[in-house]
Amino acid sequence: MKKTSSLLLAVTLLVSLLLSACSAGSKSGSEGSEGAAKPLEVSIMTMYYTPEPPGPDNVVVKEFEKRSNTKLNITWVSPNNYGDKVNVTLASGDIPDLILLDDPFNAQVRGMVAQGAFWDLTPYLQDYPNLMQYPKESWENTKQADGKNYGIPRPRPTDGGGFTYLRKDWLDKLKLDIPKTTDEFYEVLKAFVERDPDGNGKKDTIGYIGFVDQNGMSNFGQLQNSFTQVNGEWKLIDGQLVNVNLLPEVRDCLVWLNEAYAEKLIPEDFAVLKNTQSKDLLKSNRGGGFQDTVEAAWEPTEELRKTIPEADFLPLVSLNGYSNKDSGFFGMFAIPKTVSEDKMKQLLKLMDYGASPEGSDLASFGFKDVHYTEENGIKLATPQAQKDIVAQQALGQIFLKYDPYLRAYRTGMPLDVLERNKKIIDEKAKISIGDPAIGLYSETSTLVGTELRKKIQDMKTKVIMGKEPISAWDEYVEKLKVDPDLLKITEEMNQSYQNKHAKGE
Amino acid sequence: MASSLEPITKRTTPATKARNPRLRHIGKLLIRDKFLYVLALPGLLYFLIFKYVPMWGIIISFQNYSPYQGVMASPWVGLEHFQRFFSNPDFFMLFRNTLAINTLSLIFFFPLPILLSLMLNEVRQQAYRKIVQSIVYLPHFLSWVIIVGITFILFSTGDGAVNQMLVSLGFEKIDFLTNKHYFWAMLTAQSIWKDAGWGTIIFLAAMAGIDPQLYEAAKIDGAGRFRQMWNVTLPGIRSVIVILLILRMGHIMDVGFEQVFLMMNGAVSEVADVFDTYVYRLGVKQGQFSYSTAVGLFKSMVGLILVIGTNKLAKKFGEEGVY
Repeated sequence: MKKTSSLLLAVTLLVSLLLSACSAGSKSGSEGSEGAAKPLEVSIMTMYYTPEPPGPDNVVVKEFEKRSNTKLNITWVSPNNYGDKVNVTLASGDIPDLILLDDPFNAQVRGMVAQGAFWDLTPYLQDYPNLMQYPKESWENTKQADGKNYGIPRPRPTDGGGFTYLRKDWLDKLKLDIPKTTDEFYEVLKAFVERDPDGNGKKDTIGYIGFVDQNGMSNFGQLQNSFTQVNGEWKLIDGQLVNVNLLPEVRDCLVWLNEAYAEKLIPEDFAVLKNTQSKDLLKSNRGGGFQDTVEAAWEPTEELRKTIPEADFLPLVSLNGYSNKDSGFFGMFAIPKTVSEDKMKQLLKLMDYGASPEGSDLASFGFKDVHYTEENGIKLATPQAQKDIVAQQALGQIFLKYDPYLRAYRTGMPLDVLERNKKIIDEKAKISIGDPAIGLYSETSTLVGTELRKKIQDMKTKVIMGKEPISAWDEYVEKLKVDPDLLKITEEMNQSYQNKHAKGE
Repeated sequence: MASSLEPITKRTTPATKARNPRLRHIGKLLIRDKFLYVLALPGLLYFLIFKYVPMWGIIISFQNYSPYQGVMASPWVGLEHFQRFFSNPDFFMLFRNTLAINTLSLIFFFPLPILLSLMLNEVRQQAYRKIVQSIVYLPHFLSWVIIVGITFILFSTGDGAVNQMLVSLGFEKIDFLTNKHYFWAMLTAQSIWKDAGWGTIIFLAAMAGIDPQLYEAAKIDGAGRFRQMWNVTLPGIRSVIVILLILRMGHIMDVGFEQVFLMMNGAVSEVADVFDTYVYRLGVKQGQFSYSTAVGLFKSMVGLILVIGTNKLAKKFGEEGVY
């Protein structure tokens, strides 16, 4: 009898173990989409940046449904694993009516576009005036390999992206002008290091808090771009895309940085420094410059002003006459071909309403005096907004109008800084230069590109630190020029460029 | 239960014994120890499901695997990925770095826990010994991120504490983190700081199992402390040392990924890049599953050969080995 009970015990243990292992996976969703007969049922997959996503009975989602006569069934996915979720969803074939493709140019999306899995929206778009308000770049840069639009871009401002900013109060104190060229910039950094701008009697300031990582120039990126006069790795020369690393301008940049390193104008640890550490240096009154978006310059300023009221980081408009233009999009919403043409048009209408001032404001800010108060044209979120999860970072990621000044404002910023930022963005927009290689595809690059980039960057890092002489860079470039992988990538990039532009116009 | 046992006793009668004595013997053992086997079942299932079944995944290193086509439908390419790997100019560099980092760790790291546990074993004051033991364990529970962070705070060129000290003593700054000549030494030192204490656990346990009579006999024979250590303690834990060494050999191609990944930067990449970081970049970040599986398979093969080799060697020297 004793044996029976111990056998029973063993079996029970085993079974309960197996059961507990299974039960975790067997909770299946039972939230079907029922909705009333009349409103249009729309399934959407997108990402959220709020701590928690808005639920289906969120007040603003409800109001949005009412005004647009829809029933929204939104799958909110964390941005941390959004790419995987998209891949799995696309592979499953069960694609929602509107799906945000965070990378509209990854291999899978390309393949599916080529197979005709998504609606070509190009012929319909002109009927939707609010969507047409999105900047030309947003539409242009989301065009697929055949030069057609298979999705509605999630618009982002084209100007105001990461660029150099400098301590304006230090410039004033040392009676220096705002630098316009990289040479002037060098002189400013030198003065920042040698002429004790913080007035503590010690030579403990660093001119520009730059750092690199193993994939590229990172925080020196825009400095290199100021030399090459183009945003990114590829430059169009006589109608041909050329890898910028082969150009003498990159060499000039390396010589510049190497001198700056020797004179300690940039951190001695730039090869191991990380973003947060760099910002700590700025906030502790040690650094004279950094690279970030226009409104992000406020972050260290705000911290510094607690102790130094005149502290001020000024975003530069340009260096060497170069200013950076961004792609104007971050992902796009595509509509699968499984949706009927009629419904596709209705979906475009929904997105068009979302891009209207009314729809966009509702989605991003909610109800006036409940979720936000308005002051000097700036909408300030109330605590209720946080409670109801009403934010630009949630529903405002689906339904948004184009705001060129999105990169001008940050909470807590005084009005004069905001106005100055808007002016800087306007100035930048006049001259800014984009990346000619957005959305271009090279198969070789997907295979060996990352390794190649890493090797190029390793060499650059060593040259800047003086661990390799500049002649080593020259030799390396000579080798790169005949490197079979890079030659093949260049050829494919140019082919892709031709395809996109020949058929697209 | 009694009724279910009856047939078994019946079968053990000499009449049936002649049929297949070995099988029957196994069957008898199985039945006799059935409860033990039932208890072992979850463990067996675990290894079967999570260790043996996934091994079929190795098959993708011979394919151009695409997750959407699956293992069955992906095109077969034979040894193409292995060819690409071995003909890659980086192969030699990766191999050298991996081997160098591990050899250094074998020479400098492996003996340290033995030394440390010998020392701890000699401490006669129990309370003191416990405290020291706990303190040397502690760093093991810190993640590599924290340890690398501490390293940066101590050794960075700009504001690092060690360099500040050097400067105030009138010396030149030393670029610990970005000098390729120091990189391997830094890694080894970090590993020692982190895990030397933890490594003592097994040795101390082995030492606790040594028969005290041996020490008494040694004392009577006039052996001093060092003599006892050399002639009693060390021989007592020799088999444990050999087993750990054999297991360690199996990991000769593994370098702690986190540590190297976090410590690596552009200036030291040529001495820092190892198979694990390479697999991470190509396999995880770029999705070249087949190629990185091929690299992983190569690593495992080298490990397997070394384990078998060391085991044979150990047996030759009269030790037990791991199997």
